[in-house]
Amino acid sequence: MKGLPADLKTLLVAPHMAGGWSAERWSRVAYLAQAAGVLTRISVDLTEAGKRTGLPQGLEGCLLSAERNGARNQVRLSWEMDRIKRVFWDRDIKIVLLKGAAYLAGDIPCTRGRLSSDMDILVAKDELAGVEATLLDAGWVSAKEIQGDAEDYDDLYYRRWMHELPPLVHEGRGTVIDVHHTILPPTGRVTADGSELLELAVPVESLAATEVEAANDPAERSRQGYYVLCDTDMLLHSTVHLFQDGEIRGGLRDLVDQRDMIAHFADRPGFWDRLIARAEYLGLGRPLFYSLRYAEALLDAPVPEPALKASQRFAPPLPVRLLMDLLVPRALTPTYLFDSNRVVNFAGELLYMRSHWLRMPPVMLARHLAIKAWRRAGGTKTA
Amino acid sequence: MRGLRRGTLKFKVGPFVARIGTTYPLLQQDFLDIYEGYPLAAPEDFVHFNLKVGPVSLLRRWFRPKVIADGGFVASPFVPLPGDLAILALEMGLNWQVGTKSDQFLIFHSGVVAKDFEPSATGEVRPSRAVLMAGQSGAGKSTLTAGLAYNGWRLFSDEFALMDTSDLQLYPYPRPISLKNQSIEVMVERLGEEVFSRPYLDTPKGTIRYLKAPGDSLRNGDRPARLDLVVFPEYSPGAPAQVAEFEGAEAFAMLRGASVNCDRLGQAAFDAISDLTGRCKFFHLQYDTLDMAMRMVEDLMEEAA
Amino acid sequence: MGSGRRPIIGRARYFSVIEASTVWHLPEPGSLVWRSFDSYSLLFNERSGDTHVLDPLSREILDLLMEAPHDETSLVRELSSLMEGQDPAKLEAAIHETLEAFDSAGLIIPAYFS
Repeated sequence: MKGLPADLKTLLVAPHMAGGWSAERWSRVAYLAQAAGVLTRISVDLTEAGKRTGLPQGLEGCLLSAERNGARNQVRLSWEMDRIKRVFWDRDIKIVLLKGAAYLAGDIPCTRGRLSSDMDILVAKDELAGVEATLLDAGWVSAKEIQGDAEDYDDLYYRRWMHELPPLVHEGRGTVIDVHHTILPPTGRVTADGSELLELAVPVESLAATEVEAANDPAERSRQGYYVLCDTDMLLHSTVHLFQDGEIRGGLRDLVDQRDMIAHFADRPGFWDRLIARAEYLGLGRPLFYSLRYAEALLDAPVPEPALKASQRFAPPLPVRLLMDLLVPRALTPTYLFDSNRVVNFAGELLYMRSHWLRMPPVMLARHLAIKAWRRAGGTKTA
Repeated sequence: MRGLRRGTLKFKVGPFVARIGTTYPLLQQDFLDIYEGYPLAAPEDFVHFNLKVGPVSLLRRWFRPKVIADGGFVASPFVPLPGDLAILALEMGLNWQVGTKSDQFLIFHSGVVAKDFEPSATGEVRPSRAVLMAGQSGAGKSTLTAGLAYNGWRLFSDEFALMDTSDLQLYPYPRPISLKNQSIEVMVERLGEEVFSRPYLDTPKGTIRYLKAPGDSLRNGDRPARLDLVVFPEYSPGAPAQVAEFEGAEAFAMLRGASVNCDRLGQAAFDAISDLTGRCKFFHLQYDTLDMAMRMVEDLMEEAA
Repeated sequence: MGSGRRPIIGRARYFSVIEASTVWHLPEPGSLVWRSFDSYSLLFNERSGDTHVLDPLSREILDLLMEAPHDETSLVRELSSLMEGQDPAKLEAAIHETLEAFDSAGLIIPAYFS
């Protein structure tokens, strides 16, 4: 299997080994890291490893820029958590944070230098309408409306077939929130029931040592009262997002998240048995198989041998696996602007079609792609 | 020329190194014309920005050419331009990358020029002193910047002021100055044809000619300056010249409004802008002729000392 | 904000809980960075990353809330005694408007919310 570019991999899995590189090498790897959205994380790790000296002229500024960007994103995310709590302050509702917000609230290692400041939350299906109404009343508007694209096919598509509301944007802050009721679309070939996830979700743990410390820590205030998915589900959700739901192209950052979660949860008693059983139960074995396989192969994730073996039962038929082994590393690897990137594009296209196949029955997929193509060709909005 | 074609040309603009590539012969010519005299990057320099300018499709290279600047992962909002205007695509593409990916600096959307001083008789080095010219586009800040840059001041930028928030020093970003429509004539008359690019007609902003950055601004591209004066010029033909000082919360708000990335810098920006509010002089300028505006800036800088 | 000259445009749109009896307080005065120029105060909120410019009345209101939680009625009482000769209706309106602005900026929260 083709690996990641060597320097990028070093920076991601062994930053203490970095250094002694020419400016040319740094320039290239910094470009790749920015393209993959992981430069901020790398800056944080280089500082931690005491590797911020003796770098080529000009690189320091680039790293500082990346760090400031990351710090700003974390402030935005933590503030958004605070503001959303303010909106629902008088409602008895279980809000489960997903993705970036969950990593931040749960202090999962992949939160360091993570760039997205979008909010993703999961609520019970019968709460969905109420949550949307409350948000719309409290300053959020439909993102589609802002683009002047209301009431069209996309909106219906989200509501009828997807597992979330159309994204909402806060008018004042410009931040985006996605409200989900499950983590997979009901039309997909595998589905995971949202109520199962809600049931096992755990309250965000206080990270403060004492109550006084908790009361004086702004970050504590933001996270208190929220829930996050339990460890197995948190990892599974990320794998679904990368290998089933979204596009694999450009998804290296997600695989890095998964690697960090694997390392973070690995030593919890019974984690691996619970993970395999949970994947089986929720019907999410396939994405888990891919995640463990590629996180281990590309990013040296510490997956124990028995767990790798156990996940084999979720493997696709051999030809598919061989094809994925060929395509996935290429689609995940960013390319330098001045290198040719035709192969990557092709791999990405193939995988994009695959992710749609996985989430819609074929007839509906044909209809979806036809409408997209029609609109791209300049067809009317209400096609 | 070969470096440009193969995408290996790396040149320095102030604190940045940009790597540029294009296979488009007309752009290669235009680029070498207005970037003549820029220092090339040394092998030990890190590359901040990468930009490839090329036809939107293979067909479009020959048939009514349309070009676009490709910054790779940096998504930019620009539409393709006719092949004749390829240099604009490059200029806008590079500015976009600097404006969105350089948060090591607090950036103001403004022109900047500075006065350099010889070391004093006792050998004491005296810092260069800068004036920042902000305000809406069309207020004449490019023309004023151009006028001063060729008249005893050193060009820092007509686009972005780059401020290091740790010591409040401004860093040069000397780029060709883009002059539009009527101001072209005024400046060609003053400075002569040879410091200008060819005219670019029918751009989204009308006619554009680039004024080359003066040689001393390129040779001193790594020398910072202290900010002493902030002006908001306003070209009002036929109106009497007016200078109005302002300060305090208004100065803070005006300066913050000129910043491109203060939101992304958080407290570092808040502290820097507050400190500058307390330390610099702020003026609205209303002027009729370029000479008048230049004299005002000279006088105000004398006073701000 | 809080100039007292503008009319109030209905009730706060964002949060339906704003009533004269709502007790407000500042959750984290430690996250606020202050600078003063003349009679205006500049305020940077570390938690939101937002910068605010406060006129003297707004500053006074925020100071009172920093000392102790207040409801709108008690703020009006305290400030009327400080600013004698002010039209009481205008002052009340300005205070109400300022509280709304502070609340939607996240500078203050209802005391029972925390």
